[in-house]
Amino acid sequence: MKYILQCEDSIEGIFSAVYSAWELKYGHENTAIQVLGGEEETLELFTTYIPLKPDVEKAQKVLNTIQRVCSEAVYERLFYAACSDAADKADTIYRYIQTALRMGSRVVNHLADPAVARVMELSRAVGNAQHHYLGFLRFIEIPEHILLARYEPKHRLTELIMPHFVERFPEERFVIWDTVRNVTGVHVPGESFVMLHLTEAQTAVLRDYTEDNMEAEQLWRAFVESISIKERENKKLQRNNIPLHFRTYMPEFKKGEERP
Amino acid sequence: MNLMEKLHILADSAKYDVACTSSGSARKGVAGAIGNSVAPGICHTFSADGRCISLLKILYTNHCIFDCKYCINRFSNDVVRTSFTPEEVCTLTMEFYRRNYIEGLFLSSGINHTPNATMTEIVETLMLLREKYHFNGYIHCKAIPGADPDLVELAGWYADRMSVNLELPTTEGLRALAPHKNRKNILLPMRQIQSGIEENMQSLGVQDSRGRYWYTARELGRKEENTTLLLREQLRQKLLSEKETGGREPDLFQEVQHVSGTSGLHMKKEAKWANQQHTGRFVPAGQSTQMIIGATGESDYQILSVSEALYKKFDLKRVFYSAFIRVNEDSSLPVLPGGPPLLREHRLYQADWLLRYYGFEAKELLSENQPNFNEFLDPKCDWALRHPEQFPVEVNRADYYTLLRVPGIGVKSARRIVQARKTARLDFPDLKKAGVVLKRAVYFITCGGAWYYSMKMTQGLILQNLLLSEKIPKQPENIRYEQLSLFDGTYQDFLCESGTA
Ligand code: SF4
Repeated sequence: MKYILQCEDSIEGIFSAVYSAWELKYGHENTAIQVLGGEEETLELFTTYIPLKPDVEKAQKVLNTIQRVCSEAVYERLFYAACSDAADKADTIYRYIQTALRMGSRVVNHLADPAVARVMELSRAVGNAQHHYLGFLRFIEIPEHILLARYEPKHRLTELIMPHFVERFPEERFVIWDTVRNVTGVHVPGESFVMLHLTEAQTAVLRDYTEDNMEAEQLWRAFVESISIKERENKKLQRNNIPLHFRTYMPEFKKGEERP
Repeated sequence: MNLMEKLHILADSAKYDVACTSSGSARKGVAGAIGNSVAPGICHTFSADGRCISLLKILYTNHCIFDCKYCINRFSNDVVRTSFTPEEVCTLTMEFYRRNYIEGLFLSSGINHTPNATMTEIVETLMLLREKYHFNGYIHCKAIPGADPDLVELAGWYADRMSVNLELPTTEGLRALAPHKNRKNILLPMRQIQSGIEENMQSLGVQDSRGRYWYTARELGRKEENTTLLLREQLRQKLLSEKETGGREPDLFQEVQHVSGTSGLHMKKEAKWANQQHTGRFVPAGQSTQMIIGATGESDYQILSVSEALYKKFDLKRVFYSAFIRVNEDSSLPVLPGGPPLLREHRLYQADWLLRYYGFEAKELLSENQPNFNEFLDPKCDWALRHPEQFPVEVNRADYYTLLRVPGIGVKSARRIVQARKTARLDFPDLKKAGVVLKRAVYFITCGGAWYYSMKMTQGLILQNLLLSEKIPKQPENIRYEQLSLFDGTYQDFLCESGTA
C-alpha cells in the first residue's frame, strides 16, 4: 500500500506534512507528500490519499529540528525550496530531510543524492528570483501615503522579500501583493510584517488602485528615457538583463506613452 | 522651467558618466529614517542601451565654465542650461526611492561659477538629504577638481562613494581635450579621499573600504607601494599622537566650523550625520574614476598601466572605461569609423577584471610591441596563447591563482575546484560540474596527467578552435550582472559596469 499525504501549498503546510509523515509511521518508502492545488492529479490505484490541514506547531517543530541537527544554511535552503513553484517540491523536501537528519550539516554538499541536488536547484531558482524582485518591484502611492506593490511572481516570494523592504522603509505603511496567489505582505511603522490572504472585497478595493497619485511615474519615465545613450542602443542586452515578464508593473515599460 | 524639463536635461547630460553601481556599502535601516544599503548592490532597471540603472544619476547643473572638447556641456556649446535646487534633488531622490525605483543618488555636476561654489551646492544637497529627509540609502557624489579640501571632506562624511574622473589616460590627452583641467587638480582630491578613507578605516580597525586589487595583491604576497606605506605610517602616527593628547574629540565638528568660515555653509552641532547616526564612516564604499576610451591616441597598454597605477597607489575600488562618443563637432576630436569603440571598451573591462581578481599585471597582458588587445579574443585567452610555456596546468595540483590563469576557469570554478579536490581526484566531467567552460579550457589543462584530446594541438589550431567556439558580436550581448561572492565570503562585488563587462 502507498500513502500520499496531501498538504496545503505553504511553508506551514509542507513542513507540518513532513511531521505527519513521521508521526503516521507508514514507512518512508511507502509515503509521499504532495501539495494540493496544482494540476489535476490522476489518482493512482492502491494508494490511500490523506488530506492534511496545515499545523503551525508541527511545522515549527520540524524547522527547529533542522536548525538544531543541521545548520542555518540547511534550514534556509529548505525554506527557499518550499517557496518554489515546482510540483515535486514537497516530496523532495521530505526526502531531503530524511538524508539531512542522518548527515547533519554536511548534507548541503552531498549532491550525489538526487533530493539534495534538487533542493539546491530549487532554492537557487527562488533565490535568484528574489534578488531580481528586490530591484524590479515597484510601489505606487495610493491615498493616505500608503505604498502598494503588485507583482506576479512565479514562486512564492512575498515572505522572502518582505524583510528587505521592512528594513528599508521602517516608517512607511506598505503592502506587497502577489496577485497570482492573492496573498499580501503588510507592514506598518514600528511593527515587523504580517501575511494576509485577501477577501474578495479587499481585492476589489486594491484592484482599483492602478495609478500613482503623484507625478513620480512620469518623472521616472523621463529619467529612464534620458539616461540611455542613443549611440549604444542594445535592446537585446536590455532584454537579457530584464526579461519581459518582469516588466508588467514597471512604469518605465508602460505601453502607450513614450517608451524608453 | 519645471521639474520634468530639468530632469530631462540634467539626466541627459549625466548619462556619459558610466559608473552605476550601488555596491560596497552595507548599512542597516534605522527607525525614523528611510533606506539601507546592500553590499552587492541592486539593479533596478535597464535602459535601452542595456546598462543597469541603480542610481538616480543626474548633474546638479549643466552650467559650466570649462570647455572640455568632448563634453556636451562645455562652455562653448549652445545648449539649454539649468540647475536643480537642493530641495528638488531631495524630492526626486525620496520619491523615487520610496517607490523602489532606485538604490540612491549619483550626483555629478558641471562647474558653475567656481569649483567651490559648485562643491558647496553638492554638499548642501547631501546634507539636506541626510539630515532633513533622513535618507539612509546609497549616495555617490563627485569631488569637483579644484574645490576646497574642506568641502571635499565634508562631502565624504555624507557620501558612500566619491569619484573624481581622470577623463583621459595621459597628461597630454588632458591638455589637448580638457584645457582647463590638469592632472594635479584631479589627483589631489583623489589622494585626499584615499587618505580620509585610510584614516577612517584605521581608527575603526576595519579594512572593508579597500578595493579588490589590494586583496589580490596581498594574497599574492606583493609589496605595497612606498607611497601608500608612507601614507599609512603617517596616519598611524597621527592617530597615536591624538590618543596621547586625550583622544580625537569631534574632529568632524572642527572641520565643519572651519568650512562654515570659508564657504558660508553652516551646520548645526547635531548635524553630524555620519558620526552620529552611524558608525562614522568616511566614503565607506571607496572611490572610483573614469577614463574616456578612444578620444585620444593612447594604446590599451598605456590605459591599462594607468589603471594599474591607480589601483596600486590610490586603492581605488573601480576604474570605469567609457567608449568615446562624438557629441561635438570639433576638429580636435577623432571621427571613429565604427562609432563608439564598444568592443575595445569591453576588452578593457575584462582586462581590468584580470588585474583586480586574477592577479595579472598590465605588463604581462600587453607590451610596447603588442600594445593593444585582440578584439576577437578575450584578454585571458590571448595571453594564454602567447604563453605556451605556462601550460598545461594540472588541475589536481595547481594553486588557486594558477588555475585562475586558465581560459575557461573563473573565480567561482577555481574556488570549487580547490574545494572539491580535497576529497576526490578530479576528471573532466567533474570540472564541467564545477562550472568550468570546457570548450575553452581543454587546450590548457590536464586531469591526472591526461589531456582531453589525444591529438597534439598547435597554437594555430587552438586559436582557430577558440575563435570558432566564440561568437563575436558587434556589441556585447550577454554581459551578466552577476554577484560574485569572494574568498572571504563577506566581500562582494557587483559586476555592473555600464553594460560592458
Ligand atoms: S568640467 Fe568639462 S567635462 Fe565637466 S561639465 Fe564642464 S566641460 Fe563638461
